[in-house]
Amino acid sequence: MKAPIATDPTAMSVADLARAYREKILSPHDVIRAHLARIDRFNGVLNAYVTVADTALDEAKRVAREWRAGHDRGPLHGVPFAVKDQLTTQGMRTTAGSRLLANWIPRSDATVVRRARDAGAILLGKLNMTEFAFGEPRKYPYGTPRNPWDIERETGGSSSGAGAALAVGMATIAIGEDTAGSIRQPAAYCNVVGLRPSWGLVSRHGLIPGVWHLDTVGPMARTVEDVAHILHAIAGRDPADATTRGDAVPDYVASLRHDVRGVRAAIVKELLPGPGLDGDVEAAVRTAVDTLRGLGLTIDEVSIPAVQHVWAIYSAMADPEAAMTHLEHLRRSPERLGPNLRIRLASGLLVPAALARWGERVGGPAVTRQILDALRAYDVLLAPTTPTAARLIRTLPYSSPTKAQIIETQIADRAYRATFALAGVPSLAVPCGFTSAGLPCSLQIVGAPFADDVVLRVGHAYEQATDWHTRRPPVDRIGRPAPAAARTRNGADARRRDRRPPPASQGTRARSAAPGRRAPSRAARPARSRGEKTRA
Amino acid sequence: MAPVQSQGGRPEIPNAFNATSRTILEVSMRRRALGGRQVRAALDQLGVRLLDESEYAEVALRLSIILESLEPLMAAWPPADEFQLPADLPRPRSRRG
Repeated sequence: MKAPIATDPTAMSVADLARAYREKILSPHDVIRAHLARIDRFNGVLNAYVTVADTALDEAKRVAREWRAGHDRGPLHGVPFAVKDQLTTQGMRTTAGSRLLANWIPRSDATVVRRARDAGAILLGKLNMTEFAFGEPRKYPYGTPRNPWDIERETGGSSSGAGAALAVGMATIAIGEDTAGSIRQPAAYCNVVGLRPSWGLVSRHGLIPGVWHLDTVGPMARTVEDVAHILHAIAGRDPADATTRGDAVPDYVASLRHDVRGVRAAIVKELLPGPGLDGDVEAAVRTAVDTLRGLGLTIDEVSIPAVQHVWAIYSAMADPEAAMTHLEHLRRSPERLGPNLRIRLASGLLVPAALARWGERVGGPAVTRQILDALRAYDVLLAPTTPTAARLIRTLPYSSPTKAQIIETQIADRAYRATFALAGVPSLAVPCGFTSAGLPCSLQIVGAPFADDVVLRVGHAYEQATDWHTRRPPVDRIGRPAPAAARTRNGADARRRDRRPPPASQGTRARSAAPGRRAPSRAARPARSRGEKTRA
Repeated sequence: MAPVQSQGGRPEIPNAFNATSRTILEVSMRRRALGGRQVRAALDQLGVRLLDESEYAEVALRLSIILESLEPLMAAWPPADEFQLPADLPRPRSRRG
């Protein structure tokens, strides 16, 4: 007997949607309309989207015709998706969370966006993020995203909007980017699933870059199976990105059905318990480990002593690269960058070359070596994804933090995710419980390079044994409905005075996300001064 | 402003600024005497200005923490075996010795 399909299209999985289309229970048009209504209702408070695509309904009509004609493009055919605003979208503005790019309309899609579209997915819009994926966690140029589990709390970043959008059904699937934890932290804080894939598995062509040797594009969704569906669609060699591997892409969805009994797992001793670990999070992760043991995994403990040094090694390696990437932004328009970003980039410029080179040649490889040694003995490593649940936005340091605040909010937190980013290994964040305050906790499952299928299989088995991933935020408490989104061209803000039409070559329209109840951000105004122009 | 696009190759490591300034900066860092003034002087040479003194001070703080954390490691973790000076390489003698 088939399992019943969820009745709310905004709560459906990829498999549910495909079945609903196949059995003509729903049309892609119904599904997109339901998602747009959801965005209109919640985005004004949650600030998950920076730009909502006006093309979605037209695309849905086209996809519906394809379904009626019996043309099935696969599991993502007709699935609503959204992407972090760090990935270019043809004809739709791409801001990278920066006011400097408020009106930049790229000519082409990032490879992953194109691959998702080719698989039949329908683009709903662009998701909010910290400025250039490095910026301030408290004040975002396009409105600070709010956590739907408690709107006074952060969503995590830098794929910030993705966590909130997935949690409340403003998208079925999303594509984010993870430099040192930017997919996994918002997944953890918002009770959704996020995978940082193996470095080199997914193309970065069309990604506004931050750190060349760490930036990793990856999937986010409400279930591990949906994450596997996206990964299958976007992974694989891309001639436009020389860092991608040419191996055949495994069937990640099929591999979920393989047994996990006998999988060798090890808890990372330095992270469970690790620096700053909250008691409720620790208890949830330990219970999750017990569940995995019950599923037949062997559980051991392994030591990765380098964990304690990760923040400094990461900063010495990543900050100089990011500073170089954005040097011209820093030189020409420092006042249009947030203070956190200005300070990080300036620090990166001044990290002595000897330190940066040491980080690249010795520090980073030492961390990697310890992780790979552990992964020779074990199939997966286990750790909390974050040491705490989502923090209150008002308590996050904003400008001029003290040394103690830097240590508390950055150094401890960084150890849990940047450790695995430095090694380039796949790391999956899976919901694993709640704190006593009702906030999500997350288990991190880490695998060997290009063993993304193993990581997904363990995550899926865990999901089948628990129901944490099925829990959704109390949406009736999210706040009053936001006003309908104001329609503008090319996603530029409705308040802009300069209503220059888009270049003739761009026929796609988009609308800006509803500004909501908060004061409008200056950031969304068009960049007009200091010689900045809208680029086509 | 043109956004920075994906690069085909690895970006250059920065710090190609005036060597004297870098030396002053590094010496200050090692003496734990790094402050906003030195940071400002170094950034000036790179054509970068921050918005106020507290930002220069925060850069100094961040750099100090990085150096404090890494200096002991740099001594404890030598480069990989395949790229070290041979152990029997004659060591430079101290002039006083």
